[in-house]
Amino acid sequence: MLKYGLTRLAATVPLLLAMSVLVFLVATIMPGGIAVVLLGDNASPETVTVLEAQLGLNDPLPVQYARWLGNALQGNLGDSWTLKEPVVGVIVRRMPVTLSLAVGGMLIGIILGLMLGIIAGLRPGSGVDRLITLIASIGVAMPAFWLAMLLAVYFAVQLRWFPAIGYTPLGEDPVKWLRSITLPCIALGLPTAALIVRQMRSSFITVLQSRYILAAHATGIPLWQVVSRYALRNALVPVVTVIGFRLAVVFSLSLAVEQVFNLPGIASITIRSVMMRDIPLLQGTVLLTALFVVVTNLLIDLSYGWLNPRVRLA
Amino acid sequence: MTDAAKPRGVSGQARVWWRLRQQRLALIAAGYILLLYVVAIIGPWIAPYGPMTGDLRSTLQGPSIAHWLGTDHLGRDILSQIIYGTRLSMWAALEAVLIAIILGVPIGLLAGYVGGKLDRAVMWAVDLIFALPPIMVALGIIAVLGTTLDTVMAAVGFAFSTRFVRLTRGMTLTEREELYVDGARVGGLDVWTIVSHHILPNIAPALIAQAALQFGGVLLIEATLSFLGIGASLEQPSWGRLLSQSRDYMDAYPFLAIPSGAAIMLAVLAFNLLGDGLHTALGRDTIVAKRKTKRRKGDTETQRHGDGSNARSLIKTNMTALAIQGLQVRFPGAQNREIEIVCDVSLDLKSGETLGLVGESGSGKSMTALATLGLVPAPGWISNGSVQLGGRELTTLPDSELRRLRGKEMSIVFQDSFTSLNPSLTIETQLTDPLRAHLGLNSRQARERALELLALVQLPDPQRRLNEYPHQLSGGMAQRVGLARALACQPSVLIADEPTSALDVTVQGQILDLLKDAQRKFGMAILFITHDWGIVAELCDRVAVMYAGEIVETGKVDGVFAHPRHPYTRALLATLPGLDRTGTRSVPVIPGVVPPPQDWHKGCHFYPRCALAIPACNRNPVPLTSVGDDRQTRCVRAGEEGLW
Ligand code: SF4
Repeated sequence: MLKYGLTRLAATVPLLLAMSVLVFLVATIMPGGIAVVLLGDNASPETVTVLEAQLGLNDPLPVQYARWLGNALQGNLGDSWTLKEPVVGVIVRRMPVTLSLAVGGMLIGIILGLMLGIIAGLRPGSGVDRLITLIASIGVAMPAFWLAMLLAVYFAVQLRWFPAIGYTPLGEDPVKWLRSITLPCIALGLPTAALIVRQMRSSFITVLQSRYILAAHATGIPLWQVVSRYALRNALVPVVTVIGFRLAVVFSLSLAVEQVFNLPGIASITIRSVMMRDIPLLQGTVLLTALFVVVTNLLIDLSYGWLNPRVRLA
Repeated sequence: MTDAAKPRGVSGQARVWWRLRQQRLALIAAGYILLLYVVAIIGPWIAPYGPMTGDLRSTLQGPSIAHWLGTDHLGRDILSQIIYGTRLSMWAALEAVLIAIILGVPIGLLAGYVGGKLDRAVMWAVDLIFALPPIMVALGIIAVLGTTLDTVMAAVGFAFSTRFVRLTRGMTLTEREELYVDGARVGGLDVWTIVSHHILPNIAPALIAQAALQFGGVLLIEATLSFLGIGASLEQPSWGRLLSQSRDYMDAYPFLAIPSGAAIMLAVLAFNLLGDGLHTALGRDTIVAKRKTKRRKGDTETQRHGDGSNARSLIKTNMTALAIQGLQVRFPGAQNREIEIVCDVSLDLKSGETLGLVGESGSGKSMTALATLGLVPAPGWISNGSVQLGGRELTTLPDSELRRLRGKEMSIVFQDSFTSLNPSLTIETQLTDPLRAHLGLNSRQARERALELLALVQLPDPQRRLNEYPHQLSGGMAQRVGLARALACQPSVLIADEPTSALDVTVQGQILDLLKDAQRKFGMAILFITHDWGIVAELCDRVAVMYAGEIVETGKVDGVFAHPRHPYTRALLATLPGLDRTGTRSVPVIPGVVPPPQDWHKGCHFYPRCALAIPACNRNPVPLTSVGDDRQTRCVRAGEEGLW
């Protein structure tokens, strides 16, 4: 298992490198070039030339890339053009908010999704199953940010159970922190749960119809054991794939949800970087997403190994 | 499953019915999408107001006759805005999906067809982009190219094109191996013609289903981006943009968020349902898993064992171990009809005896075995008859009590040992779980007992095998493990459902010897299901021949072999080249196949294929009648002189 884990870890290096090249290239293909973007369209050609020399933009691309990567590896992605402070600092400061949402939303989604998926899959065609399937279909089609708005209107504005906007850091007041992220997490979690329910249900049904489950029933071991030990594990394999996809996406889904609740996370700086062409900031957020995705994929691979001995021992 | 456990006619019809119902939803969804596009086209003519015409005297009003969905903060009609929003969102989504298809499909076709380096390079790049969430890819492009709606949708289209590349490539790879492509290639057509004229039309349906699903995703992303203020501008009332405007009035007038949000959700839902429906119609449902029996070659275990002497002579008891009377199994069929797939099966099995159950595929042998164990797969059920194990009625027992008998008093060995072992659990777990459940052993005792069992079935190196997984075993070894599991609690009845037909001949013999050995040791009764008369001759005391859900003839093996008293038995035996155990075992060939259960005749089930059929045969159900010493047959003409 350790060897398997290490090979998977090693396999992420080329992926991350390729991502970094892509991210780096974003800056160089800017129409007009970076200097023009920085100085504005009215800048005189002379100032542009001076700035380009200052920024080392006249060096060959590989040299520029090496320099940029070297800095990036030391945790320096440059200063944000619009915020005038180091990109890494901005991201580190805002990271906990987005991470709380992503993790909380995924937890809700996974727990709820697996539970309902199993309940539905145990009795396909029953009333409960049809109800769950119906709700899941709607949940998958529900925009997370709309759900967020509806939740905010009802539970925050009308019932006043939770704050409608704002974020309290965990270190400051854990209870307030929990209250400030509850609604956003639910908004992210429910559509995620819907997705997982659908996959869990169908793979559970497939597994329950399989020969080895029939054979397990034939040995007379208790029903709960058949379900929990013999069926669940195998049914989880395709579900893990879906969870992986979702993990990669939940990060970007939280963009809109953060906006709804005015949370000081990655969302607002991402949008800012896109709207104002703040390249270092954009590079930072895209790299962060890439890192998140790579780590996610690694975790998913490791869980395949845990779930499926054939993968682990291969 | 070998035969009746997979009732072709029944599940086929049930599936068609199930598909039809799915389709109905998909049809409604398709209708709704069509409606959306009609609205998108004729929107300006049917919208009661302009999208921007506001009346500041009537702001934030609820639904009324003048404004069906109320007004917003500038007094603009919400219904009109939604209608104009439909126009914008639906076109934007179409634009993005078309871009995704135009970019993705040709690349996928080419990469899949040409293969080699080109394929690897393309897939590497695609996987790279695919790893990122599409919205981030789109954002990166938007940052470079600007934030107008058209660039946004092009960026989204680009982000989604990777999905089409992957899908198209995958399908092209499979299609490339098809005969018709070979033909085209030999015919000297150039790559592009082959790909576009021959491969594309074949994979198009699946692509369309995929496109419908991607539509939903694209719509959601467009809405998200507009909501974030990227894409549709303030003057462009896309659904997402409308929703973001309503955010400012959440406290004062929450209803504002409902129409636009619902519009997005319904459209996405419709595309998802349509996509699902198309997938189902294309037969890509995952609900019904296909099972294939694989035959493992190269089983080189050589330690043969046992002297092969017959067990039947050693134990002479007359205690009935298993008695099946008038067993009937039904499945729900089309139009609320019930379909009988096991009609009238009666079997008696004495301790120490081996009864062969013979018949073609589809005759209901396996379903009889499962019904005996109380394991008829849903939605089927035992509709009539009785099953008695050691004098105890099983059909009325609750599942929890049945479980206490299964694996302990009676157990089963399946044909394909690989599929009947759980791929993700060790042999130890799978052997010890029943031991612990039935005998109350602790884990150490259970492990020791498991080792004994593996030694009993002569699995080499049992210590090591216990910690292994099924895929690390050969076919013969896996079947030994299956046998060990069945014998774990020394059952009084063992059902063997073609336990050797997936193995090669040497291993077959070894497994049969093991069975005989075990029978001699434990004195259990064996119900041996097979279509191999060689095994029947060697192993069984009595034989029951099954056809289309019914026992058509039973009797002592020697008697049945010498003088079959049913046309079906006779036909089966007539197709045999010889009964030598080491010789070739032919699967009997009688013209035609067992018809699916819903087509079974009211009279004799064999009537359509019988060489001796007369009109009287097809009138009434034919009963099983006794014809001499321990011999029964189900034939109208059984009593006629000279026929037999
Ligand atoms: S009853 Fe008639 S049709 Fe059926 S097996 Fe006998 S002869 Fe053939």
